[in-house]
Amino acid sequence: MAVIKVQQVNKTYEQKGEVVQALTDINLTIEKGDIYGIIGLSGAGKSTLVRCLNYLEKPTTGQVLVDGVDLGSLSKKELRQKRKEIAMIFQHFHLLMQKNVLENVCFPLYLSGMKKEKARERARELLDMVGLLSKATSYPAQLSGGQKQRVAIARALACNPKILLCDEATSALDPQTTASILELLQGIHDRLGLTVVVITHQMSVVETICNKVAIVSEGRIVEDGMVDAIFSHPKSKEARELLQETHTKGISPKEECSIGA
Amino acid sequence: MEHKLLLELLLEGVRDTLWMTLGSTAIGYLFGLPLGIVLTVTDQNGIRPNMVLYKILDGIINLVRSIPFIILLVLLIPFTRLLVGKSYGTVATIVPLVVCSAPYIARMVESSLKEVDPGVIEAAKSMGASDWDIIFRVLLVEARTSLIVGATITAGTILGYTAMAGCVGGGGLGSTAIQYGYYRWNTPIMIATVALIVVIFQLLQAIGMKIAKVTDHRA
Repeated sequence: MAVIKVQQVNKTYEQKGEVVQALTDINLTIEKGDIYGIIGLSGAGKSTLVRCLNYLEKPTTGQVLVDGVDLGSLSKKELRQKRKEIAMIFQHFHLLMQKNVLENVCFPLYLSGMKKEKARERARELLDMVGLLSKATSYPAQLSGGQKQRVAIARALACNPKILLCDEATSALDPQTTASILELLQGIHDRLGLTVVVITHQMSVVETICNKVAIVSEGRIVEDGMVDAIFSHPKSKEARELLQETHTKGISPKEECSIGA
Repeated sequence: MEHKLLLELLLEGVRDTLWMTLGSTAIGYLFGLPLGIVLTVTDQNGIRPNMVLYKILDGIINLVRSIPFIILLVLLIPFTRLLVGKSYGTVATIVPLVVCSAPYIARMVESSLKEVDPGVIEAAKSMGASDWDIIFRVLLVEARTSLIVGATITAGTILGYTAMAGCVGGGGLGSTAIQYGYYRWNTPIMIATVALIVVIFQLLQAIGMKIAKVTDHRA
């Protein structure tokens, strides 16, 4: 069953009197258990697209269905409730800098009305899962980028979401840390049966963890499907360019094979 | 005898000055803090934009802030009399001090809250936070250091204003300086009051900055 269904979504902004078309005719189906990559160059509209999935951005036209529920039909309160099922992590982590690691993970639990003691107990479990229990009383400023993202992941998982949206979650990290975060995400996906949406501009990220991918260019989806198929037979110019770019940077030898094929 | 009176006079001045400064700052925040929050929330990039409300508050704040305090003191005499029954003395001075400081505080609070990383607010929204949650669990928490620094600066400014209030019958060291130091040409008293005001200012500043530093976890 489709966990997320995006139907004919358009998004326009007005910027200094000019209308900017950020997304055009987006259709997307994400199945339960997918790790779905949305890839494109910066400015392609992928960040806007992922924000439509939890209605941080409201589509100008079209529908976003999560578990069959049209997000546009929900009241403010219902939407806030629904968002608890759709967790999100960010490129720059967005942790509370004035709260320690434990309290950061407790944050969404407090929002759900959980009592302090119980929230802290749950937060400790989560920190243990991401391997950061020893840093519970540290503050975000004392952590490395990779550690901050682990805290953000623990925080995102606090309320047992069904969907995890990752907005360029590894783009601010070095390759080694990126690999460890992707491994963590993969593990969480396998263990918890989450549906994961990964926004990225790095083909290597898609290759490492995604089973499906959509390529976004200038606000449109130019190609989508199974990762293997697109890597071996890219149809669109944009897909070939993205593959080429990764290839020339020499990030992964595996990609050489797929381009050569 | 002379010395004892002098000491009593100065101590009374210190007490009244502290009382006016801290009392006005506290009551000023009672009005200024919510006002600053409303400004932040209703601004066009705020969490609940409302340009009409923002422009009205913005206009009123600018209006009050553009009136020099010494004039505000005189203008507000009838209002003060209505509120506390008289227009002179320590308590009466708090009225114009609050009227003057509340819009100033609102601006300080607004600028502190606007420093909060919009990304953190977005993250909170993605977790299902309400506007209320964002104000109390994100904005006020993340802006804490900046808010404390702002309060310290505000208290320092109000301390200066209390001295001015001495001109029109307010209490405190300012009035001592004017009545004894200026009108009676008593230079030692003048110097003593100025020295005391300087010491109080330094103490307020040092304590405020210390609290801000200790409670800041960003580094």
